[in-house]
Amino acid sequence: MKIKNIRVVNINAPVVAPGPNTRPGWNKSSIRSRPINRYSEFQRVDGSQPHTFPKAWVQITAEDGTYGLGSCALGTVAAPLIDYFIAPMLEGRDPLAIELLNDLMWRSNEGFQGGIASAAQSAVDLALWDLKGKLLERPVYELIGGPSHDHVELYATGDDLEWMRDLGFKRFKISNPFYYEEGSEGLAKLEDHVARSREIVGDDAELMFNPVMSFNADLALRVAERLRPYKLRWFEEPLPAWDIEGHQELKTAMTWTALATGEHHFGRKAFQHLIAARAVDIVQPDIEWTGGFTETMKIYTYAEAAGVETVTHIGGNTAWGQHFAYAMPETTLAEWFMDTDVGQPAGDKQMPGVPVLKDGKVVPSNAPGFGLEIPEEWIVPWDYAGQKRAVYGKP
Amino acid sequence: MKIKSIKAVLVKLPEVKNPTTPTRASWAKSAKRAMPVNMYPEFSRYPTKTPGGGLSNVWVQVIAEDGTWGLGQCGFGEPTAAFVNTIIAPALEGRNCLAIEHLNDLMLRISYRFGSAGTASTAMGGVDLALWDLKGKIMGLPVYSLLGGPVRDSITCYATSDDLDWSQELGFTKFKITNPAHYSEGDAGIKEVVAHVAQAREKVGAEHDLMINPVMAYNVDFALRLLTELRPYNLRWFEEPLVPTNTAGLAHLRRSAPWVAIATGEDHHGRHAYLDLVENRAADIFQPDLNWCGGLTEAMKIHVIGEAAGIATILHAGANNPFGQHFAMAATESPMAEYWLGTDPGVPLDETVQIPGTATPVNGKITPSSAPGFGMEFETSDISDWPEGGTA
Repeated sequence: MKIKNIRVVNINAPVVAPGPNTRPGWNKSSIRSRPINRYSEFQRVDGSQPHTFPKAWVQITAEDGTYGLGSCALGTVAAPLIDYFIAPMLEGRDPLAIELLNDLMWRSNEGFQGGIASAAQSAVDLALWDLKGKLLERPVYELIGGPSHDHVELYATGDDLEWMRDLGFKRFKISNPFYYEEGSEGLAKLEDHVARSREIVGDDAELMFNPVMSFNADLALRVAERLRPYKLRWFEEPLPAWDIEGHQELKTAMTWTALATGEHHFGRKAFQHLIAARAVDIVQPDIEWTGGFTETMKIYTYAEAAGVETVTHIGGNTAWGQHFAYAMPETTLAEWFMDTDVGQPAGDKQMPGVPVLKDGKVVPSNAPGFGLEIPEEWIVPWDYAGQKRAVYGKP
Repeated sequence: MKIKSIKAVLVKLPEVKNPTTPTRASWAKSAKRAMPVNMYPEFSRYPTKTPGGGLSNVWVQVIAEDGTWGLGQCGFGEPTAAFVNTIIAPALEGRNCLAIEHLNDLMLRISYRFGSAGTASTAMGGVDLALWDLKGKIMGLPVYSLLGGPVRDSITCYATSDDLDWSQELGFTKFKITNPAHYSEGDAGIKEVVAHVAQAREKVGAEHDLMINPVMAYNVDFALRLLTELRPYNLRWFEEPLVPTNTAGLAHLRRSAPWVAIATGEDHHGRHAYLDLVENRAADIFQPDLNWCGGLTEAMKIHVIGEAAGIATILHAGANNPFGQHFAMAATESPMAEYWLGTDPGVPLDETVQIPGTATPVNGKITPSSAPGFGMEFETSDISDWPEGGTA
């Protein structure tokens, strides 16, 4: 069996209205911080950051017409890399030889590894795993040697804590409203946010905090000390991905909370450096950014040998993240990102075939591949001409 | 699909009809060698005659509910068989036979109390290989396809043998020779090794890969002085000079002798030993043994650790059996495999195959079978229960 073609597509899924008796969720209202927020013209509410581009999907069709689907972030810039560069290199080859196809992608991407190239590679790799599962009529978690658990235990990311609690979650991760140039007043605002959150979820619930790279090493430690009474389960990605020494110092000093990071670390080597420096407790690769399912398993393998847990970024919402967490022994959690409005069913934005959580747990589909049930008529060609320029605030 | 039973078994290997008469006896029957225990003169210099050296292979059979079975092989006789039958089997029977990652994790967690390296990892290796054989048979695919291969058309082999003329006649172009000296022999030992290498280099020519394997017979002092003397002979690598526990010594050796690659691993068991080598920058090439290190799952993990660190994984004796051949077909950073050539010169390699269905090198290259599982051609009638009390 050979790969007939690889192409970037869009999934034309109908937009689901939030419905009556709902209000905008945290993702549309929480003031947050990113590295770019040093400059005031950039918005503080998520969903309007410079890096926000639509997802791209990849469809890989085998000679017999069976196809697999995968997706990645940064679609606008990843799509041409896939269509013009990766597809011609892999078409005509054995779709089951995923190690070889990954190695080809890494070796040929030498000039532009990390970021956009690893996102592009992710979508291709995911589509290959979906296709392999369909060709062998097995769920992906079984191909990779799972399941290792009865179900996938989820934690919820969002600031609408009462709503998240009502959905049955017992583990919560909140956002960060504080940028490091806001000084002591910002720090007080942050403490207030964490204190209120701890009060809502109670002393027995796990509470995590995610500043998404908005601190530096000095401020991160000040923040960690200030938040010490609130017994955070982990402190997530306080620093930019490149600051290995900063992570190392922080982890050494911060004995009361675990240090988690990884959604902006791309590929095995970045994680090897973190682990070798003993700069991390929990690694959080994003399957759609770091290089795909294959790469995430390599990262997992390295971390596993070093006694470091892998909890993928937003792994609970996607079929790939569910299959990964269900299969891998040293992964005890997955992240459910609250992407719906308050009062709207939590699974409204799921792709068909991707199971929805229940009581803070999910069990992946046991249908072949990743179990996606995307109607064929939703799969449409990628619209190169329709890609939009970003719109920013005026400086 | 659930596991019905797991047990250590005996497997009847085929006999060769009308065997070819050898031109002479193999080096393996006469070459004087050195193992760690040869510090003491009362022990034989032939590895198979040192304590434990003669223990038989152990086969493991995993049978699924529908009767499909897989076979794996490991070593070290009765202790391993007992570990499989009394500790691993009861913990794994009744579980999903395809969930190999889970089963590997269970075996490892169970084994910590007993020492996760050594007997435990050898027993795990046999079980794990049988699980992969079974998975391949259930899915109708060769194991290398399950692993994401093939990543190459054929496997390039090097020959481990002191019968260099026979290796050359068979078409090999990469050669590894044995070591005759133990570090306790001092300067006389160094001279003996240098003479042995010089002679081999002359036979194989300047342009071909030549390696030497002391199998833990040296200490740091002896190894470094020897490597200084061996520098003109341009060895491709220097293999397992020290005992596997001496990571700091190996790192020192590697830093001090940058003109030669340091290979090691056949006596390192499990992923953690290899992570230790990476973090101490102690090796250039990893050489796990599939039957001893914990199995195929463990070897793939070791390969990933090496790959991330820029280190190749070249299995110990990997080209002699289908298990290692499938690994080499699927592991990207595994540029060659070892063919242990200990059979008598003049006898065609096909006649020396122990496991039916195993491909043999032609001009130093192997293309394994694409039959399901590991492609071993055994019948159910070839398999019998492990005898109580062992095989000896």
